[in-house]
Parts: sequence; C-alpha cells; structure tokens
Amino acid sequence: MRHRLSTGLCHICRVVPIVATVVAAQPAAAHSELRGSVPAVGAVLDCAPAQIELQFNEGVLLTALRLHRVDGAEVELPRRAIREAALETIELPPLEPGDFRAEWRIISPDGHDVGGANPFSVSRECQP
Amino acid sequence: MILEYLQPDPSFLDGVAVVVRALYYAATIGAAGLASFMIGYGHRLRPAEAARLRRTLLGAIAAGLALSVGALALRVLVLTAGASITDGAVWEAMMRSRIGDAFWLRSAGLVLLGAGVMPWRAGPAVAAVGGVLVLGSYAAMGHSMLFLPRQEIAALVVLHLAVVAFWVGSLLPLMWVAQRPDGAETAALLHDWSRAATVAVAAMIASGVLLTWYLTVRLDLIFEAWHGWALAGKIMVVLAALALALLNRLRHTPALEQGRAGAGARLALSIRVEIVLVLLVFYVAAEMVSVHPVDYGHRVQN
Repeated sequence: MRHRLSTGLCHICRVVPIVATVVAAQPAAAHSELRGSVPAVGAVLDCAPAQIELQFNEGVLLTALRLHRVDGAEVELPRRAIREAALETIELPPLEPGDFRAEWRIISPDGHDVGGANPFSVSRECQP
Repeated sequence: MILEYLQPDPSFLDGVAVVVRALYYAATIGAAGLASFMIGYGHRLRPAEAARLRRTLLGAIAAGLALSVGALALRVLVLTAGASITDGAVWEAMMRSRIGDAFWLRSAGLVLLGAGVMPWRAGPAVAAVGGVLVLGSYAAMGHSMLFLPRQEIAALVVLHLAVVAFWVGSLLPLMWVAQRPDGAETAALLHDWSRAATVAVAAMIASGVLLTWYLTVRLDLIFEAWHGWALAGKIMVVLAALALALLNRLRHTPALEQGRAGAGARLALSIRVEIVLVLLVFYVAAEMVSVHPVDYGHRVQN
C-alpha cells in the first residue's frame, strides 16, 4: 500500500477529530511501511542494478516481487522462499537499458497485505 | 474501492478486495447479531417470523463462509501482485500468518452459530460461543494485536463488535415485527429491545472511547492520511444511524404503543433506512482499513 497523504485537506476542519475520537472505535492502523529501497523510487541509473533491496520498518513476509519493463514484458525473477525479514534482497538478471517498475507485496505482522511499486530507469548498458 | 481510485496508480484488485471485505463484515457480524437476537428475543417471535429468522441466519452463515473463502482467494491474488490465485507458497504463508488465524476462528464461529437454529437445549449456548469466536476473529488480526495493552484492547474490540452485532442483527427481525397488523405485543417487544439497546449503545460508546484512548496518541496527525478522513466519514454515518434509532425510540415506538394508524409501517420504513446506513458503515469501515494512516498509538516496540 502506498503512502496516501491528504495533507491539503487537513486545515478544513479542526472540530471533527474531537468528535471522531469520542465515538471512534476503529483502532488506528499500523501497517508495515517500506522505509527505503535500492534502487530508490524514481532512480535513474547509469548501469543496471544487480539486485533490488527493500527495507521495511519491521519484519514482514514478502510474497511477491514482480519486475516489468514499463513498455511491456515481465522480467522473470528467481523464486525465493517466503520468510519473515525486514530487509529483502532479490538478485536480478542482466537488464537492458529502459524503464522498469518493481511491484512488491507483503503480509505485515498484523495480517494486512501491503504493496507498492518502485519505478526506476537504466540509462545505458555498462560492461561488468 | 473509492479511496483506491483516489490514489495515483490504483489497483483494481485492491479495490475489489475492499468491496468483498465490506460484504463479509456485513455477513459475519450480521450472522452473529441475528443469532444474538434469536437467543434473546426468539421466543417472542411468531412462528413464521422465527422460521424466517432461522432461514436468514443460515443464509448469513453460508454467505459469511463463502465470502471468507472468497476473500482469502482474492487476497492470494493480491499478494502475488495479480500473478496467481493458486500459488501454494503464498497460500501457506498467508494461512500461517494472522490472516489464517482470523479465518479459522471466524469459520469455526460461523459453523457454531448454526446451532442457534437447531432444536437443541444447548443450541443457544453453542451459538453464543460461535458469536464470540466470530467477533474475536476481528481482534485476531489487524492493529489490535500490535498495540498495548493487548488483552484489554482485544476484549474491547470484541465488546464493541458485540454491541454492533446486536444492533445490526436486530434490525431485520425488528422490521418484520413492526409490520405486524396488531400492535400491543409488538410494542412490548420493541420497548424491551429499546431498553437493552440503550445500555448496548452506552457500552459501544464507552468501548469506542477507551479504544481511541489506547490507540490514538497523536490526535493532531489523525487527518494527515486518508485513514482519518475515512474514520470521520464512518463516524458521521454511525451518528446518522444512531439519530434514526433515537427517532424510532422516541417517536415511532410510542406511536405504535398508542395504536396510531400507520405507525408500524413508518417504523418499518425507518428501520429499512437504518439498515442502508449500517451497510454504508460497513463499507466505509472496509475502505478505512485499506488505507495507510500515520503511525500513532501505544505501539508494541519490537
């Protein structure tokens, strides 16, 4: 799940939170968050990355990482065991220059499914 | 669904998951509530109404089970980013997580609720246990498991949902009762139910306030995310439903007691509107848990 902030709406009403907290019984959510990634979201890289790193705020179960070229085809990634970890590193096959989108999904410790997509670009081919 | 499409890069699967979640909230909490009405007031229903209540309860149980399984399958599709609904590794990881715990609790509870329609002496007690399991399943996953003090919060969640279930599950049978052609016996039942509901609503508000106290520290951050706005929307609809319930108690039920013409039909119409509002509450609640709030509360430090 992506961060979904609506900061522009915050100033409209200051009274509603008080009413809300008096009657509210829905617990505040505590979904896991992606705290950082390599490549970073929107990164433009000179060379193709050898791996993708996803850093979460707590131990999660990474259930999917799918890599697509933005213009179409999916890049096959090696299958990996699902285990609880805050840092996941996924090895990548050699990538051609182009725009990519890495879509990830996790189960957070409270049982919510959370997901997001990290786009990045590779600008040119590099020799190893 | 709505909040999903208000975001950049919306996911159709995530949107569908919200709708399915709302439906199983309605089916499972509704089933627990129908059973509680049957336990508390079933003996005061006429045979045709009691039979209708039994059929409705069985329908809600079947819908709850089907929707719970359907929601699991949909969740696998979401968790594989749309790749597969049959991925064994993801199914296994999901069923070993709190999602699986909640599913088994809820399913077992729904099956036990079925005892409410059986002519057994222990039927109501077994159904009551089933109701606790169904409601407890909502405390088995989600935020309540991550905040302190865990046991108190879980108990408050169950208490709060029990009141919601009692309220929601009473609406259909009360609507049938209101449509009876004769009024005196009906008015007595409605009067007794209203007295219980008054205590229940007080418990709902008290448990809600306590949960808020436990789970929300940074009130100033509550509108920093869509979650807070969805919460505000949900509370507004709940307040509208409560206002309607108050109108029923102060105007329509006394009119029925006094034998005024058309009072039953007006009460039934009002309850029908209340049902629509309650369904809306379930939908907004499903929207709310699909979005990401700013992290706040007495969170367990790992």
